[in-house]
Amino acid sequence: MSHVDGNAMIGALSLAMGTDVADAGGVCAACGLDHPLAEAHVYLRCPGMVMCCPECSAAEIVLVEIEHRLMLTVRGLATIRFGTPAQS
Amino acid sequence: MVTRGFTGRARSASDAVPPGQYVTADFPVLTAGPTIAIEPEEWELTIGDGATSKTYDWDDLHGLPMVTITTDIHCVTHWSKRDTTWEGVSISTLFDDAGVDDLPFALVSSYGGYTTNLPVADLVDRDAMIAVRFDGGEIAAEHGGPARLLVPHLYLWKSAKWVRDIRLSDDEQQGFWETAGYHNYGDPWREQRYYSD
Amino acid sequence: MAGSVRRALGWRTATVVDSIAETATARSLGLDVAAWSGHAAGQHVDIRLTAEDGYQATRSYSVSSGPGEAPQITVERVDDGEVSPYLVDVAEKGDTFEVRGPIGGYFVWEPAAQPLVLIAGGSGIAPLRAMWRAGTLRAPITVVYSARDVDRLIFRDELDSDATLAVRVHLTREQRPGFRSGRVGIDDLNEVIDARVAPAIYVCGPTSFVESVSRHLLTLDVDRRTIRTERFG
Repeated sequence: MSHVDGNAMIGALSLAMGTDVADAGGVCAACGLDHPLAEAHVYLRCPGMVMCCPECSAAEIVLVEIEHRLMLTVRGLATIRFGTPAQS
Repeated sequence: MVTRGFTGRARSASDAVPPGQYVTADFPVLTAGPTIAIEPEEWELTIGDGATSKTYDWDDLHGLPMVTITTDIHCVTHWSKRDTTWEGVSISTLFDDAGVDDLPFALVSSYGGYTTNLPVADLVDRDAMIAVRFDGGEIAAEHGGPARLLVPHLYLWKSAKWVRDIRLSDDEQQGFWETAGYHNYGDPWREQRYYSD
Repeated sequence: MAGSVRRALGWRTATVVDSIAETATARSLGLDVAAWSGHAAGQHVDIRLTAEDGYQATRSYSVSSGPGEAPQITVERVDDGEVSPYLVDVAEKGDTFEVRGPIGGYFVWEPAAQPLVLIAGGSGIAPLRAMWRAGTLRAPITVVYSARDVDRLIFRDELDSDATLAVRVHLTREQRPGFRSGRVGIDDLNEVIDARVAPAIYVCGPTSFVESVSRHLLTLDVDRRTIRTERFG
């Protein structure tokens, strides 16, 4: 089983962040790639949801739903850019 | 709300597996990132306590006594697999050979950046090993081959795939899932799935 | 703003009001969702099922109905799955489960005059159907659809009968007159894509399919900003 697109995590991520992140972008803290969150690689076949950099595969965001509470860990994004069209 | 007719995969109510687990015959692949491909010739494992460290390559590891265990394994995503057979080098053998002090905490790191933490007692007093064979064959890359940590009495996220480093310390440092909300210890029989359990 | 997101993305009850067997392994379910605010073409919903003992499983499915139509999902059964077998084989009219959405603003097409090229592998056709149903006659729409064999084609009658669509169907495991055989290759894409007119290109399917098509498209000098992809596992 491999990854799916960032899209698959956008709903839960928007809920956790309290704002729609469908158009948000991010800068990978490991390799510096600036990319739309929707273009990240997402791994769902694991204990939570993990968003990884599409270039270097470093884990950027980990999202876990624990007893109806969302727990968000931003491990590897230097910047998250909200609400502006993503540049590729 | 309950969904009529939805059971999920069959879950066992037997007490042979921990609470909330179902028995599966296959071996699901769970990963927080891409499968890491490492040839045995490139694989290395470093054991260190801050003062002493020793690095093993594939041949070094195979120069140590091997043990075989048959055990059930339990994943926090609710599946358990019964009677799996693993061959490898026990962690206590490895720590003795490396000459490291049994400091109280271990942080385990993998190729690809995954980490997990556990008490050193759980590595040396039970069945924990660096496994190099599963059910009589090589360990497939998707299951953590060529070498993975196996700590069968804790949830499987503690059994780091593609293991490359075990660092012993006086201070506890949390790993990938432990930081993200999973239990610090992860005993399946006490259903320690989340930090709040 | 947090409040509105929470409303849009909180779990709500969906009732199955329509059930259509598309193929032996795929089914479309029409849903009635209280206070459904409408969706854009390409958006998806999260669906959560709960067993009697409290066990829950959540998966994402694209909306396959057009904007303005009632929400519908189209699901292909995955053999080792646990949500898709329920949705394809068990769910009946009147059944309820939880739904969250619509979600997504990236893999979305807003009707425009620019030519549109839709490229699907397998059940990746679902969100693309929402796009061609959103289309206006101003935008020429080409559909490139790859399936294992003719029995796996979803929406075949609709693709046959809609004269506004230019449709090319590839069968990867079957040879049959009127169909292309084999995977979607660079030459097949070159025939339908004129990089000079900068069409909007949407690609949806299994990861390997999307990766392969994306690589071909970049070889054809298509501006990568015009390509939107969605992969499923």
